[in-house]
Amino acid sequence: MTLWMRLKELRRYPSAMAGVFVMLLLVLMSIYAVVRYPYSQAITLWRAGEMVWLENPRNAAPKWFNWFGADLPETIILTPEKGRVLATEALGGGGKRQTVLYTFDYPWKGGFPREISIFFESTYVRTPPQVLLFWRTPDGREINLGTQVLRRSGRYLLSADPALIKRLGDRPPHEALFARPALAANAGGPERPLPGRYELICDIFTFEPESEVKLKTIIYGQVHGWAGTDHLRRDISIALLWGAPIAIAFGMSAALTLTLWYLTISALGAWFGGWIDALVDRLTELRMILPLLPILIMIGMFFSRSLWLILAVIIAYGLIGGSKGYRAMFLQARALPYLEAARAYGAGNFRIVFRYLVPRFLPLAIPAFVQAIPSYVFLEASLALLGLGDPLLPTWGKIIQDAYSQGALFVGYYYWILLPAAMLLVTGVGFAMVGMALDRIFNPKLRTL
Amino acid sequence: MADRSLTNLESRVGTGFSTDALLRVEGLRLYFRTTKGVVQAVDDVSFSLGWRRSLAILGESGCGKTSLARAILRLLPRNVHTFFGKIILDGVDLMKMNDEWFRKEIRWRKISFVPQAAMNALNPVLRVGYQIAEPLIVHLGVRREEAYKRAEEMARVVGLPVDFLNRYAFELSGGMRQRAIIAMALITNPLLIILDEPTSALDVLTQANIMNSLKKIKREFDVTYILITHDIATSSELADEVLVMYAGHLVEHSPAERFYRTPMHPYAQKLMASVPTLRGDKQLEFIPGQPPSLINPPKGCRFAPRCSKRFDKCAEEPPLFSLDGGGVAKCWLMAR
Repeated sequence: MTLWMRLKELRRYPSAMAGVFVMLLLVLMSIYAVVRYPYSQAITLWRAGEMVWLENPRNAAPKWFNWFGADLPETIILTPEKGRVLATEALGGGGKRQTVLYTFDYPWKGGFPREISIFFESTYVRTPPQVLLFWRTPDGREINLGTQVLRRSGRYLLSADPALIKRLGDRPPHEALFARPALAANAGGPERPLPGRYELICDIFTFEPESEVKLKTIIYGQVHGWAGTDHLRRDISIALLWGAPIAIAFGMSAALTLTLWYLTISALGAWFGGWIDALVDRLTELRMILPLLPILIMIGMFFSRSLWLILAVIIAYGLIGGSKGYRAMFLQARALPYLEAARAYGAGNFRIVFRYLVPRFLPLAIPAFVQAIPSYVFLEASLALLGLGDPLLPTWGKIIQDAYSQGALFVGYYYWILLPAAMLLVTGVGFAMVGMALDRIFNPKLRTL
Repeated sequence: MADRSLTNLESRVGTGFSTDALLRVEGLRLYFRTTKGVVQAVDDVSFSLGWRRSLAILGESGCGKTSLARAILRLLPRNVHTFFGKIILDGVDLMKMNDEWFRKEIRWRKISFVPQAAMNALNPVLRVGYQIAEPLIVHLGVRREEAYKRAEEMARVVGLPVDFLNRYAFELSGGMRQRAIIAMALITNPLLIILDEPTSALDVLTQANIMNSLKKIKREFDVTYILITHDIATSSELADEVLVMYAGHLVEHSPAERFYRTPMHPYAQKLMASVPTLRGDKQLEFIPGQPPSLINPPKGCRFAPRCSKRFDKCAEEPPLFSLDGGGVAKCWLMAR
């Protein structure tokens, strides 16, 4: 088919091929996102709150920061299985003492962990178990971290324990425990971590025969995943991935519907003329003076922020009238001999409009359609940035808004803003490059000899 | 005889094959409204055309030939000022039909049209075969396959290779496109085919080919042609009757044999004298002056200002005078 042949002309434009590559990438991303995190799961992960993400560090940078020499720590999770039982000693009254040793490597020189928490679960009837914690650094120092009473289940925020902070010389434990001793003495200077093998020794005392204890220690790092995490410990990669299908679905449905509508309604107006044309044209002018963004802001403020409602409003707004450009084209086309001929052989008005007039200009609408897609994606992002994004869906605009509201740029979490911004930019440029090349192929006015 | 068994095609002799004329036009006027005034493109034209006859309508550019054809087909632009008169086709007055009825019952079922610049008259986004078949599908509800079969038949009749039917218009030469349009005009087996300058944009060989096809078609399918042209030589190939228009008026309507030998109206005579003949020593003639403006046409005989034979009487509008040996002419000279 000739349309396909003309689409293949895209190969002549390197920029268009780059754009096609971007589009393919977005499609693959979308497929991956939808398969990897099905819609409901993605919503849960994004909206369920901090408890889902307890094992993630807060505001962590992407892991690939370390490729550029940052050498920031990753998260270390010491699960019960990783512990080695050194000794078990029976106590009077059915209780026992168990000494468990956790060993782990801390090879990173570029920073301290963000925080340390110990999650515990204990079963007992009357007397809760207790744990004595000792810390051993690679250079052999042993630090007593104190005793904790383990009531039922909960979280011991080791790095926020005031007693421990005091004992460590008013320094946050997650730094003091990993600091080089020489520099630790020299307070005031920049502290640097001491890489090597650390040990955590837990002396667990239970006082009842059936009493059990499970400990999980998490030493939160400063890097996580390929996209980092946000202030709620959420993995930004999920939102980046899910942003692609949402952006494409949003942009495509708006662009496709409106392009076809503009073609159709302008063709009908131009073909029938008279009051129909006047009506369509006046409506077009009405739309041109109706401000879309304030309307959307008002709807977002007072009614609903659902992305799909916003899409419906954008489409409804577009349905007011047609396009001046298409109308001009159709008015010119009305005098073409093949339309006269169609009229002569008795083709009905609608047959002429839909089989003769519209298909003839469909190729011209293709570049316009492709170029319109990113404009709607940007519109969604702008609304999100204004705080009017969909409250449920993870979108690129929402990430930027979160980052903005947390002052990401002031605190230096550049990745938080730059990654979604890059996605938006690459999408926009990709579609624009394809669109411009298509314009050169399909629009006779741009054809050069 | 061509195939007439196509079930959905109603018999063309529905109103009885009368001895009456197929087409009778009486007092037809078609005026257009323009910014400069009212253009009297067709003014009081009357003629009749018998079954299976072909009529050539001759005249200079802008004399109302095409407007006359469009008036018969009711293919009118929006700026129509007056559209008045009688057009009786096969006993039915077309002027009394409403537009929708006319579109469904007359266009292509009874009258088909090969438009001017027919080369560009094909839809660029449909395959030629579909387009040829389309009138059958649209008007008569013939099934697609059957319509295609018929399209292939028609393609054979007009000399269009059948494998061209799968192509798009831009893949065809001008002559082939013209053939496709003629095939399309034939497919519904109409009573009357109006050909508006069917050969004007083609080279002479193709012109000859097309004319031969048209002649063959005329023999095989009793069609009636109205051939609009300014090419007198080409028209002589096909025409049984000749109608000459000048400034919106019919000035002469004569049988072809007589007309090509001895045209009667001074304008027709001049027109004939302007045709080059092969190897003749004849000095080509032209008519001094311009055709008159149709907004303010001259009173009386419209040709009078350019006529070498004018006399006092020409200040009054002449009626149509019957001629010896058939035909009419709108000239006071005929009154003597």
